[in-house]
Amino acid sequence: MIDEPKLRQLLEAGTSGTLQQHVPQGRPPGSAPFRGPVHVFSSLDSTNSRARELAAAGAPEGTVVVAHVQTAGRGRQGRGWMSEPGKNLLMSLLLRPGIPPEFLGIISLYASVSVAAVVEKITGGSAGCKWPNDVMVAGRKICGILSESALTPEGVGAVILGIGLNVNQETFPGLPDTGATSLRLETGADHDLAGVLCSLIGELADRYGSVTRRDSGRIIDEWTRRSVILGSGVRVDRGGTIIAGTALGVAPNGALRIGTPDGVVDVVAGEVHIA
Amino acid sequence: MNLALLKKLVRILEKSSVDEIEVEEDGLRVRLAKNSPGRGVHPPPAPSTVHAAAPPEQAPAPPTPAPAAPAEPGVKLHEVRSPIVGTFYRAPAPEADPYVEVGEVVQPKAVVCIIEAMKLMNEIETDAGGRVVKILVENGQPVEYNQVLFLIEPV
Repeated sequence: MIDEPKLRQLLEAGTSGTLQQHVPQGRPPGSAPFRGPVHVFSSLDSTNSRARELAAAGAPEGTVVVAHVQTAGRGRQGRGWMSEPGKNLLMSLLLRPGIPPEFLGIISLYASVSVAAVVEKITGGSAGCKWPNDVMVAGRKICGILSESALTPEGVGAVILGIGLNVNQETFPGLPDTGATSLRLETGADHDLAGVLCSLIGELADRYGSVTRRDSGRIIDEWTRRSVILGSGVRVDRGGTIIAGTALGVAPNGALRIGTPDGVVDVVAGEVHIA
Repeated sequence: MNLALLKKLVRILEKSSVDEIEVEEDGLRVRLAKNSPGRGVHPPPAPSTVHAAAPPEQAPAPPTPAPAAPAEPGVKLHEVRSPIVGTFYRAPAPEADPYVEVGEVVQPKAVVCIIEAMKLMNEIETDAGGRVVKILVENGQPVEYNQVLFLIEPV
């Protein structure tokens, strides 16, 4: 468990520090899968980059990296990720799930349903999931997820789950009004970053067994319930060839099932546009 | 594994419609492949799994595919294959330098590319070191499971 008051002190002061997680006595094995330390940084280039360095140095599963400020926050394929200092939750979680490469895609759905659960608890409303890892509130994106892993000849190495959740930021320069939202914008109140972080780690820990056991049913059920695209017409660009059809569901490995005039196809990469 | 068995395997391969046979016996592994152009390099995709390409605005391609560097005749080249279905990226970001170039010598366990699947960026390591002789896929293009991505010549 994370010492939330101490975490709050660090995050509110914007200072760096490390907290060790402790496991309450009497908890059954597996109920607290994340036991790594929580590293808080006043400023970092990117929480994912630091988490990767820690992973390479042998850091344990569940190690968390949080930054007050990210100077080079990254999105997918090097896209920038901007956040006002101290306003949002910028964190990375180190996982060592020990799953085969073909099951890795479920990590994206796992992260998005965990974030969606936190958003729903805080806002009291519903959050939507767009394949594979976008979390939306009323059509606006509230969270960015960048997951990275190393595939070695021996199998899947460390997986870094980078999550940027918009908490108290109110304006998003450069994005259209319909593009982004935050917990503050949805509730009209500021939210405590330490509380949001502990809640998110709790949701991630709660579902982690579904990932490591390769039993994706619960994650897929949760994702399906929140999906904003199932049943919709979708278009996918496949190396210049367009696949158009209806989003039918999600396969056990997380792939999006699309019904086309030529049959059902599973899509595992790329962006899906609602037609 | 004796010579007679090897000859038998060659005959089986010649008469069959498969492109490759791999046999392991007492720790010795032999792979036989037909030598027709293009065969065996790009295994057919799994029937129902398709790949959606990345959107056009991302990852402008570095100039690829790079020209092949000549390999020593008769040298067995190491193949780096894709462990998953996804999108192939030669660099960690669109403006970044590629992980490797043709002609470059890489160490074992060096990261040679990224394969993205379901927004998970997977760094792919080579299990063998050597000189990169050929890069077989263009940046931003779909790859299938087990598709050969790089040819590496032992040095």
